[in-house]
Amino acid sequence: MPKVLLVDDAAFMRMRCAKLLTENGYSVDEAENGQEAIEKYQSIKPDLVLMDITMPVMDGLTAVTEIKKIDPSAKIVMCSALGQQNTVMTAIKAGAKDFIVKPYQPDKILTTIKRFID
Amino acid sequence: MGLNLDASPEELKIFLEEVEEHFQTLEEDLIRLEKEEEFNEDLMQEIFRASHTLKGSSATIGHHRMAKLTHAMENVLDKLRKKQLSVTSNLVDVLFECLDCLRVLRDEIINDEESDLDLQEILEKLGTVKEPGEIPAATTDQPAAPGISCIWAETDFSIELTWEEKDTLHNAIEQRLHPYLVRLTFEVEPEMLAVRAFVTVRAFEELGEVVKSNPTEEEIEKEHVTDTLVLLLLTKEDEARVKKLVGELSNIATCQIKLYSHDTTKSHPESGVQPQEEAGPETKIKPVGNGAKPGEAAKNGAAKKANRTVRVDVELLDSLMNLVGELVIDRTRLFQILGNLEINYEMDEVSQDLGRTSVHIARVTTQLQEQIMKARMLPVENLFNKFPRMVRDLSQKAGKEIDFVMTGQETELDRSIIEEIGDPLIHLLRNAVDHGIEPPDAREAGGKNRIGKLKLQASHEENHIVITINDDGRGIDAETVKKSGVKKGLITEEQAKRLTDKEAINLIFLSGLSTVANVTDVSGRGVGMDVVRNNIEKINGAIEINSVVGQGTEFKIKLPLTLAIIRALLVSIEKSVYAIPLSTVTETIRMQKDQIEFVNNREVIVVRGKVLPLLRLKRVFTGINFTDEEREKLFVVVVNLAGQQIGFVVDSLVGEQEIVIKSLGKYIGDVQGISGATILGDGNVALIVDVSNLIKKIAS
Repeated sequence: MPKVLLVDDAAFMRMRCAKLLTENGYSVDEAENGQEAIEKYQSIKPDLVLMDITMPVMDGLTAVTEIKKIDPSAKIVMCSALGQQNTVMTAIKAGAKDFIVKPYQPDKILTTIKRFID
Repeated sequence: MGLNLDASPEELKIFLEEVEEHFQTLEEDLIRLEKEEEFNEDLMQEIFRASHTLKGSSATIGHHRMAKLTHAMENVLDKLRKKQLSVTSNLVDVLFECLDCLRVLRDEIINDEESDLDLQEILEKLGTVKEPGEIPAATTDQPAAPGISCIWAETDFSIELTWEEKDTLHNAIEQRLHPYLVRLTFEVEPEMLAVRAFVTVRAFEELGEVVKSNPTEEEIEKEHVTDTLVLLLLTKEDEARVKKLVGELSNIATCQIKLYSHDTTKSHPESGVQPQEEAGPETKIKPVGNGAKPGEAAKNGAAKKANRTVRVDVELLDSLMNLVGELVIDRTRLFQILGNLEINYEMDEVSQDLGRTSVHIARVTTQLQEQIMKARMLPVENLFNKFPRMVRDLSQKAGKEIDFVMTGQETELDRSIIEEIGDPLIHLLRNAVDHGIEPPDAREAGGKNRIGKLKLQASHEENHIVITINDDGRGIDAETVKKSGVKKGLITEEQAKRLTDKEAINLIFLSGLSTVANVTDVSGRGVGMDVVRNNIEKINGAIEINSVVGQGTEFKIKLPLTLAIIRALLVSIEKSVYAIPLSTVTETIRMQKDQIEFVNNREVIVVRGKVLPLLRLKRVFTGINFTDEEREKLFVVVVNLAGQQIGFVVDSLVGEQEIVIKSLGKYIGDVQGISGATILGDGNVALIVDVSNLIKKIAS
């Protein structure tokens, strides 16, 4: 079962996303911030990371850079809100593969993820 | 009228809790922001984050008005953050007004009814927050929609190449790479068009080399983008693979592919790929000041609806509990004084009056104590809810089939206990999945159902909450534990021989003991069970194991209802009074001095055929050894913790009483055998005996 690491500081968003993903046959692990994401990335070795940007402790952008250092082949999809265009662009340049804009549309999440996990 | 939100009741509950937290953050931080003279960037970041998360979450559940308002707020906060605006009291007023509106919107969710709050006014206020020198609001995330006249038209398209690029191309064709010319148009108003274009180019680069694109990567980075992207791809993949990629990309409206040739007009083949339908821009947050109904002003609408609950700071609950504790002490004192009064004076009218009032105060105090304890209670459900997922994931990882059942989720516990009990429970569940329950094949071979049973139960028992974790796995083998204990040097071989099975199993609570040969990533590192026990005992709880080899293991955790007030047995030692938590006491025995026997130079007595080690609290606490003039009769308080029994020898028994636990204070610090202190009815202080500490002491 493909593993997805869900990184978001809002428990509500995680819960919702996790539900969607588990229902669609993914195994989901969660992290509350970038720091935790890095730790979990190393222990879980997920097939894909869904990374929020604005988070306490360590933001998503920093986390992408760090994870890419650890694993250059890491597949990370940024989860952004409107108005974070520059940050997302920086994240893509830092090695993130794609992005999803909140509010999430279930279909969009699934098709985006599928491309990288197949 | 309902709101038709897109969220389950459970999701809404979490959403509302988080919303509440963010409101709290906003409220506190805005005040601080205004107060602090220097601009506090961290604080600003926190405010921004709260508003940002609110925006994302509210848009997700489909509360568009809340999303709209938070979006507008975020724009202003972003400018503040970037110092394009400065903090003025006027601005903070507007932000507070936003918060009031948000609370009304939150109440809409609680009541599932739209309020008559009109956002127009507040949105306008947010939109016009300006000051000299402010950079006009950029609208980068709202690119103009260029009209796509005919998406399936076979338009001619090409790309200009430099000589160098043409050279690359020739070489590539010689190496049998396919040069595909791809023309994509994006959907109308996709979110973050520039980034989308950038990601799209990157995606093609995964198939081969993008020799050239129009706009180029540099142009895209500078957001010089339109709805059209043309690129030349050199790849060893075939056309179908390229088409597949296009189908997987987001926000693509149309796509045309052809083989590149110098004379592009003779192109072939030409094809169109229709990507999957995507939800249109109607789900997008509309810009500020748009589409709100005219109506009452925000302030009027913000008049709060009567809410059935209020939020109370946990600290307030703690201090209330503390105050009630004081009352409980005084209640006890009052009765004692009344008793003296009755003895020393005839009960005249005044004392009778005092008596009646005391009884009343006592009754009210008891009720108050119960009510406040109730206010601190939470159902264990909140904690238990995450376990099914966890067990499921763990069992999958371990390749096991497990039927996980939970009961008694509605059982309520003091919130501080719930906080403490989470980790131990996770650990025990992990152990059960990883070591307790056997792999399906092994189970079948052993004549069991392939599917293992794991049960988590919470229930109320007398003055305790009991949580049990029950599995029907392989059980704990006492012999294996003994061997491991000897091997690790935790016990000697001789000790091991003398241990009963139950005592042996209890060894798993010693630190450094693990019976598992191969450590998995889930559990079995030999740390854990000791931590589990310590955590439970820290909150005056107790843990007990029952295990039958081949049939399963049960962990029984007994927890007090509250941490602050417990029932205790008061005993006296050398004229001082000590309190022993009643939850640990099984019985008290009166015995003759000559009943004491010696085993290995240790004092024991035999109670109903069982040997009970004795500990003289006098020696422990005062250092005084028993002397010859000691009375012939002794009192023994039998305590039991985690299946281990010992007897405390005390001078006399004083009585049973509710006591309020107070810490010894920092300057005294940790004292061996004492866990705290309490104030008695007569105003004296009694020390609370740390039973688990003493049992460990005698065991070692």
